Order: sequence, then structure tokens, then C-alpha cells
Amino acid sequence: MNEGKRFRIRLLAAWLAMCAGTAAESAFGQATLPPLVRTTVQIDSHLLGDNLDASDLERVKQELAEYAAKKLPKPGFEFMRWKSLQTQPDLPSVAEFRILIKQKSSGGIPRLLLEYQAFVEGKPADLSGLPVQPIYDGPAPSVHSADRLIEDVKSLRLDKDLANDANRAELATAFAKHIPLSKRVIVEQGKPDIIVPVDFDSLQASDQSHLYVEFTAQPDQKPAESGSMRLRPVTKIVTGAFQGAVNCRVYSFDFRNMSVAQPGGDDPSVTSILAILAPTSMKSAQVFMEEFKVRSGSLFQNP
Amino acid sequence: MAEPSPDETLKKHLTLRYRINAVLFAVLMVALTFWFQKHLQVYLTQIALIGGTMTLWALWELLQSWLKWGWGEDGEDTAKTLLGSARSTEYVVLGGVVLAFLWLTTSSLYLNYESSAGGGTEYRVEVKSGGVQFLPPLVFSSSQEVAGKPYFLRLRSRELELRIVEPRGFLALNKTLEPGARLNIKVPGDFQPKKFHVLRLVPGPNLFSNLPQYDDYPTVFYEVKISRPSGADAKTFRDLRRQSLYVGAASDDIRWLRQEQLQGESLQDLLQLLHDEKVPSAAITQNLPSLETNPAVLSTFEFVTGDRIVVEVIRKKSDGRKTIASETLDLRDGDPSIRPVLLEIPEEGAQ
Repeated sequence: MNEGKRFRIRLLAAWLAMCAGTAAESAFGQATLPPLVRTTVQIDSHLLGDNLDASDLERVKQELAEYAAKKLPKPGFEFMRWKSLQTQPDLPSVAEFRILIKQKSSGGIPRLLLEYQAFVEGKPADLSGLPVQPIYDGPAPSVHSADRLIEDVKSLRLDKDLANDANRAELATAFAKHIPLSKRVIVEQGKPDIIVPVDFDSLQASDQSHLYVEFTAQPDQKPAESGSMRLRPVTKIVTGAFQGAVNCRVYSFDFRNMSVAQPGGDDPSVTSILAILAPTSMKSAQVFMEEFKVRSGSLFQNP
Repeated sequence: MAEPSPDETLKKHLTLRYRINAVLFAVLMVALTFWFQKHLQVYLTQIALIGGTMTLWALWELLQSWLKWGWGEDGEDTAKTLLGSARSTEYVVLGGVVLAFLWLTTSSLYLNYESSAGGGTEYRVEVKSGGVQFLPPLVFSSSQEVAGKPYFLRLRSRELELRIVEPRGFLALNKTLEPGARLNIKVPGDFQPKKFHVLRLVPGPNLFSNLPQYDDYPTVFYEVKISRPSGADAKTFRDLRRQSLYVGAASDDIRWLRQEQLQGESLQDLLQLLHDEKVPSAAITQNLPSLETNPAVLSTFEFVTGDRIVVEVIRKKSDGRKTIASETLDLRDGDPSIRPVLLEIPEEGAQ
């Protein structure tokens, strides 16, 4: 077999594979919703455990978790869904933001402390930048009133902590940026765009946002290797199998010796990138929100 | 020697009977006077004017006036006529029997106010016998110094409990009112001052943190049970909040004792206790206002020197009750009237 024939066979194979991959993606279904983060509250305190009924304790946990789920998204984390554990409990989640109310003796006074913990896919995330803080300056005014405890935790800690810019930056760095939006990126045949199969409307990301993708690919006979790229969410896909998903442009691309910044147009690297990202090549991928800019106005602001 | 004539003999008999009757009458009058003086005079006059020498002088004058009744020839004849007859002897004897009966069956109870003793200006006294009111409540002051009454025809003795109900601080006085006797009680001199052993139970920092606020509506309650080591005389305070709890006497006595404390004494004693018990200063600062306000009082048996008192803290939840702390306190003679005691539960694992 001569070289020209071999090359044509390869191209045909790549095209077939791309078609097959596209067909397979179609079989997966449409765009998924952004990742779900569960907000939970745990209470590790004799003071509260001994003096509140189980039903009251449960109410404290539930109300605070729901409050945190409402407070956390804005600003900056709208690209994820936040729900308390009790809200639609059957929905799968990828991460947990935990509020831990615990007790420690300080200066001879048992004190209630509040600690934030985060878990991504079951593994703890480092939130040491959010220090453990007492809920009250002294002893708790009441460990017998669930209502008072709820209000105090909201006003004395959550309202302050979750609105604090430094805390939110810490949350973004240590937690939110490590939550995978998707574990797939999809390339469509003959198109320069890269699809992240996450619901565009729910993601709320403008084209100024950056998605960071870590992937492992094996576009040829060489061993699979890891690479990364940054994407800009550009448009909402309005038709086709991935209707409603996010259509992205490559902002930067690194794989093996290939390092491309903002490829586009007739850039020959685009073809190579698409080949690397082809379903037959991709072994794994994780898409993260590296920099989030909330989209405002029309959903189709960036056609 | 010539025999006396019948007139002379009769005259001698009359004279002898007159003398005997006169002596009997005099004795009867003296006895009557003493009886009257003992049981009735104060009741009738309500003031004890006559006493000692004055009384004897008055008695003498009284007797003299009776015996001098119609003094002189006519008077002597009249007295002889009255006391010299056989019937008069019967009357005198009958009077003697009646007086003897009255003497033996009359008792009286009188209470006298002593303004110089006790320091109070007004005293309210209750007198009970067998738990039943024996006299109406009595009030003594400078304008009402004596109270009491005689009791006639009483054949049995009565056990009395006299109690100064106001001001407080006196032990009850137990007396027996026997037939023929008079009880004379000095108010307040005959009443011994009471030695209180009230305990002020002060929640330690950990217990304090567990207790409900004064205005909470808790579902978990903290009880304090007071008893003797045998479990006898148990009393339970059902809902302890962030406050001090006073026990060890009747609630009215405890409240009176608190009022009697000097200005700032309560706070000073509390601070001393917290300092002695090495309670951290941060906790003192935080807890002190609650411990000084809204004190709770539990009416218990009266603690006395030598008593051993068991104090238990019980947590009461919907699923049951559990004793989370227990302490036995010894009451010593040198204890102050109100002794503050720290009541604490283990810091962890007390559930």
C-alpha cells in the first residue's frame, strides 16, 4: 500500500471515528445542568445536642443549609447549582459545602464555633483560608432556642462570611474552581467550536469567562498524555443533539509540544486540535470554571 | 370556880367561829387575789401596773378594807354577826372549794413586748396548738405591749408552738400550757434567733452554658433535687435557668434573709466564690449579671448545722431524665447564713 493510499485510509478512519463519536455523543442526550453542590450543616456540640430536640436540630440544619444555598451563588458562583441536602435529595451532586457548628472550651466557657468545609467528589478541599470562628463572643445566649440559633448563625456568621470578598475569593480558589462542570468536551465534525455539554442558560457565563479543561488524549499510536486548554463560552447551541449546550472557542491549548494561543480562522493548528479532541482520541476530560464573568442581558449576547 | 353562863359560852363560840371564819376568809381572799392577779388582772387591765411591793401593799389594803368593814363597834358586831354564824363557815368553805377548783383548772397565756430586745419595732406572733391556731394573730408594738387571755376549767395541758412570723429570724418557741399555770412569754426575748444554713447554688460555667435563658421556651429542662443522703425530704426545683437557686429554708425565710443582706454583700460573696473556685474571669464577666438577677428560691426543709445535703442536677428530655451531676454538701457551724456553692457539671460527655 503506497503512502497516499495509507494517508487517505487514515483520514477516512479519522472521519468515520469522528462521525461515530458524534453519533455516540448524540446518543448521550442533551446538555446537562451545571454541577450540583450540596450545602449541608453538621452539628458537633454537646451543648446543642443535649439541649435541642432532634427535630429542632434537624430544623437548624435544614434552614441553615437552605440559607447558605441561597447566599452562596451570588456573586461569582452562579455557574453551579447550590441546593441543600433536603432539596431534591435524589439529584446527584459532585461537591459538598459543609457548615460545621462545633463546640470548644475557650477561657473556661464552652463556645460554639463555625467552620466551613468543602468536599469535591468526596475528597476534602482545603478551605484553611476560611478560619474557624466563634459564633458568639462569649457563651451562647441560648442553646435552647432553635429559632434564635438559626437567626444568630445567619446574622453573625453566614451573612458576614459568605459576603466577604476575601472569603469568596478563597472559596473560588480552593473549592469552586475545582468542581468539574463536565467530564466531556465534544468536537463536531467540520466545526471549529468545542462543545461543553452543560446547559448554557444555567451556566450564566459570559464570553469573558474562561473554562479550563484538563484532558488525557491519545490521538495516535503514542501513549496517552495529559494536556490542557482554556475555552471561552461563546454561544448557546440552538439546534441539534446538544441543543442548549455551550459552544466554546479555544483560548489556549497545550498538548505535548503543541502550545497554541487563541487559534482561529485558518490556523492549521485548529485541525490538529480537533483531531486531538476527537472522541477516539480523548480518554478523559474535566472542565472547570477558571474565571467566571456572569452573563447579563440577552442570552444571545455573544453570537 | 363558877361555870360560865350559856350566854358567855355562846359568845365564846361565836367569837371562836368568827375568828376561824375570819382567818379562812382572809386566806380565801388572799388566794383569790393571787389567783386574780395571776390569771385575770392582765387580761382585764391589759397592762401590768401592779407588781412586787405594790401588789402586796394593795392586797393588804384590800384585806384591811374588808375586815374593817363597818369598823368600830357597829362594824365589829356586823363582822362578827356575818362571820360568826355556822352558815358563814359553809359559805367560806364552799368559796374555798370553788377557788381551789378554779386555782387548779385555770391557766393563762400572756405575751409581753420588750421594746429593747430584738431590734424590731413590731412583732407578729402566731400561737398554734396541734397545728391549729390557738390565739388570733398577735401584733406587738410600743402601743400594744401585752396580749393573752386566761383559760378556765382546763383539765389537760396543751402543747403550744409560738412563732414570730414577722420579722423573721427567730426559732419557734414550744411551751406547755398546764392547768393552774401561767405562761408569760417575752417578745422577742424568749425567742432564740434562728441560725440559717441557706445555700445559694451558683451554676458553674459549663452548667450555665447548658441552662436555658430566663426568657427561653425550652424543651429540655434542668432540675435540681435537694435531699438528705437517705433520700428523705426530697424537694425538686423543676426548671433552673441561668440564675442562682437558693435552698435550705422556707421560701419566705430565704427571701427575708436576702433582704437582710447588706448592700452589695450578695455580689461580694458571689465574686469571692467564683474566685475561690477558679472560674475564669471571662466566664465571670459573662455570667455574673444573670447570676445576680432573677434568683430562684426553692422551699425546702430547714437546713441545720451538721446536715448533709445532696444536690443533684438532672437533665429532663423528652426521652427521659438523667442525673448529670451530684454533690453532697456538709453544713458547718461556721457557715454564713447564705453560703454560695458552685454547681457544675462535667464539661464534655455530660449528655
